[in-house]
Order: sequence, then structure tokens, then C-alpha cells
Amino acid sequence: MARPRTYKSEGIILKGIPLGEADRIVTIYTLGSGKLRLVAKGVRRSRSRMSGYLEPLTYVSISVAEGRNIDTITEVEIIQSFREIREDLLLVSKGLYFAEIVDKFTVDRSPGSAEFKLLFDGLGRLKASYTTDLALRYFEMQMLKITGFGPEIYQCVECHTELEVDSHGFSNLKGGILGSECRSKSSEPSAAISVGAIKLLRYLQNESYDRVMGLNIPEVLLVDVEKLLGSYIRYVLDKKIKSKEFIGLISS
Amino acid sequence: MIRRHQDVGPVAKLVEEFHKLPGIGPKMAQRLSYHIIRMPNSEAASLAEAIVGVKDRIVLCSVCHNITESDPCNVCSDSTRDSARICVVEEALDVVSLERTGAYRGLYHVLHGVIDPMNGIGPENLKIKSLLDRIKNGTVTEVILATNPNLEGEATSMYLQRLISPLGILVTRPARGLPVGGDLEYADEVTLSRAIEGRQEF
Repeated sequence: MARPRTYKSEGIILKGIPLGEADRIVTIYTLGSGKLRLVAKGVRRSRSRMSGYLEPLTYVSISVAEGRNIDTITEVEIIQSFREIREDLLLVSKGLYFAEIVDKFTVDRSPGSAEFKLLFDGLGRLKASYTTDLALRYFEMQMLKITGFGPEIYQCVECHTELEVDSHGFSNLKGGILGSECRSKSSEPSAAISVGAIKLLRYLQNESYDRVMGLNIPEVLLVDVEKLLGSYIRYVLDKKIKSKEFIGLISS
Repeated sequence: MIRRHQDVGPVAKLVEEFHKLPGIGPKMAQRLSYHIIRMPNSEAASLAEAIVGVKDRIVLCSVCHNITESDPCNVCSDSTRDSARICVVEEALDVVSLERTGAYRGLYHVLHGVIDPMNGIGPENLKIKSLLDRIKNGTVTEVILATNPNLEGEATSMYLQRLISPLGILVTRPARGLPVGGDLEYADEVTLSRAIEGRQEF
């Protein structure tokens, strides 16, 4: 038998699903090759060498053997365990939300260093932003931008004229802001969006994380933007981000 | 679908049913089916009976939700057991593992799952309300959260702790440490640091 070809990679574990008796299929977002789905043999046995390493939200370096259908992890080492996240319920729920967004927005084996960096930075900064959900909104907006779904928030999506400082509409279908005039003529559904929400979206899309986190945003506005981005993401993916509900449950 | 042209009617049906079981692939399903065809009728009948019997006679204990033949189950109705302690586990199988050790003499509570936000499984899908009722009504002084030591299990335990601690009841978690027969070299960071923190006098 020919020796299997092997390769090395490093990445962050997004999720794992049980396979057979004691194996698990692990989804990992790697630095060089994007999202990979790999088999980890025997990890569900408590004596496994790999069990503790392949939990979601762990940054690991792995050795992989190529297989016919799916590759198999042969060795794992932890680079960063993000222990502070997994020991706090709210942080875990937010971290899993990040992982689910990355998982749903990306396809297998499509390299994306920006996605990796966003996830890695996002997890690393979670603890410092404990009391606010602004970091979640930043993550959502940046992921939309990286993957090419960034909404148009400077011009009207219908007539392409620069938007006046005013409240307008947001159309999921058109992927951006619909000027108030075009909105009144349009028969398609669009959500109302305030001047403040437009400003916040622009900040989230184009400013650095530190500047965004320095903003003092009223709770009402945050809730508006959360709903708006949530509905847009739902529309873009045509899937529900399941872990979002749990964050709501935990923070209430 | 794994329906092959060689497998006709009842055989194909049997193969399909086996294939639905966990850990059984199409080949194994076929092998099992052909084994059954070769079996004496009496053996096949006793297998069928065992399957039907388990569904007919086994119920969930109304107290701890463990699988049982009599309700309440043997553990819940055993007066020699320590009713001040409840050990919370994910699945009925975990009760079997713990019982085998003989080291625990308290009662159990089976959640029938674990909080798994990414798959949309929240606390409302688990047997949590009845656990809280048991704690509030009874003479319970300690709740042991024996969910699996993985991310979902930990999240579930943290969630339960948030609900139970305010009731003034001791909430504990089984110790984390090095497995018997394991190698220090291969222990992960978190396990190893917990094992050191929880070390005991030798």
C-alpha cells in the first residue's frame, strides 16, 4: 500500500459532528486553505490523544493524511485554546455565533485569510467587549464585506444618487439603502432605517475595530441595527443563524 | 439510497432499516441482513421480539427520565440511595457508566441531550424544567453536573449552574484530570492545568 500523502495546516475549529462509534467530522477554518472538513478518528473516547484539542473555538496546528473521500487528522497541537471564552457562558455563545457565521458564509477549500483574521481577532477580543454586542455587529458587517455581500450604504440602490442625510429604507433584495423617494415609489418591501442606523452601518463597514468600539451607541439604535443586519444576513444566506437565539437567552 | 437491484422487496427493506442505525454503513447493513436470512426462524423471531419488547416495555422514568421498565425507576424508588444528591447527565447511557463504577449512591437526572446552539438545540429542548421542580420541591442539597467535558457539555453545565446556584444548593462538577493509562505528554492544556489545580495529597 502506498503511503498516504500528508500535509500540515493551522486553523480554528468551527464545529464537530459525531461520526460512527467514536469518530468526529471536524470543520476547521484554516489559514492557508480556508474551510476544511476532516475526520478525527477515535476522538470521542476519553483516552484519545486528540480529544481535548478538537473542541470548537480552539486554534490548532494539525497534520493531515489525505484520504480518498475525506482527509484524516493524524496529529494536533494547540496554538491557542481561548480558555477564557469556553469558561464563560456568554462568551461561549458569542464565540459559537462567530464560528457559525464563518461556517455558513464560506465554502470548503476556498482560501480566505481575511475571514481567518476576522475570526481569530474576533475571538481574541471577545472578553474585552463583554458588556456590549457591538463587536457582534462589527463581525457581521465585516463578514458581509469580505464575502462580497457588503450592503450599499452610500448611494440609493435604485437611482444611484448620493443619499441625503435623512431616514430611508433598507432593501434586503437590492442589498442596500433605498432612498426615501425611490422607496415611496417602490412596491417591494423595505425596512425603515434611521439616520443614526445608516451612520452606524457606515462605521461598522469602514472604520477600524478600535474606533467602532470607542463609539457610544444608544441601546435603541443597537437593537435597530441588530434587527436590520440579522434580517439581511438571513436573506443573503437563506439560512437561519441558529446560535443567535441562545445569545439572546443568555444575556437576558 | 442504497437499494441495490439484487436486493428485492423484503431484503431491501431490511437493509434499509439497518442502514438507519448509528455506525452502520451500506455494506454492514447488507451483511447483517443476509446473516438474518440464514438464521433459524426461532432466532430471528426472538430478535424481532426483543426489538418490539424494548419499545413496548421501556418507558421514561417520570422522576429522572432514565429509561426503565417500572415507573419510577429502580434508582428513584430505592430507599437506600441518597436522595439529597442528584447527578445530572446527558444521556441514559451515562447512568449505566456511572452505575458501573458503584462509586455513586445518589439519584440521577437525565437531560436527554445537551445545549447545542449551532444546531439550534436550546435549553427548552432538554428536561430542565423537571430538574428545577425536583430541586425546589425536594430535600436535595447537592447537584452534580456530570455533562460531557466538551464545549456543549460545559455550556449546558454553566447554564444549569446559573439556574441552580441562586436556589442555595451546592453545585459540583466531576473532577477533571488525567485518564488512567494515559500519557502526560498527550494531555491537552486545559485538562492538564485542571489536573494540577485539583491535585490531591498522595
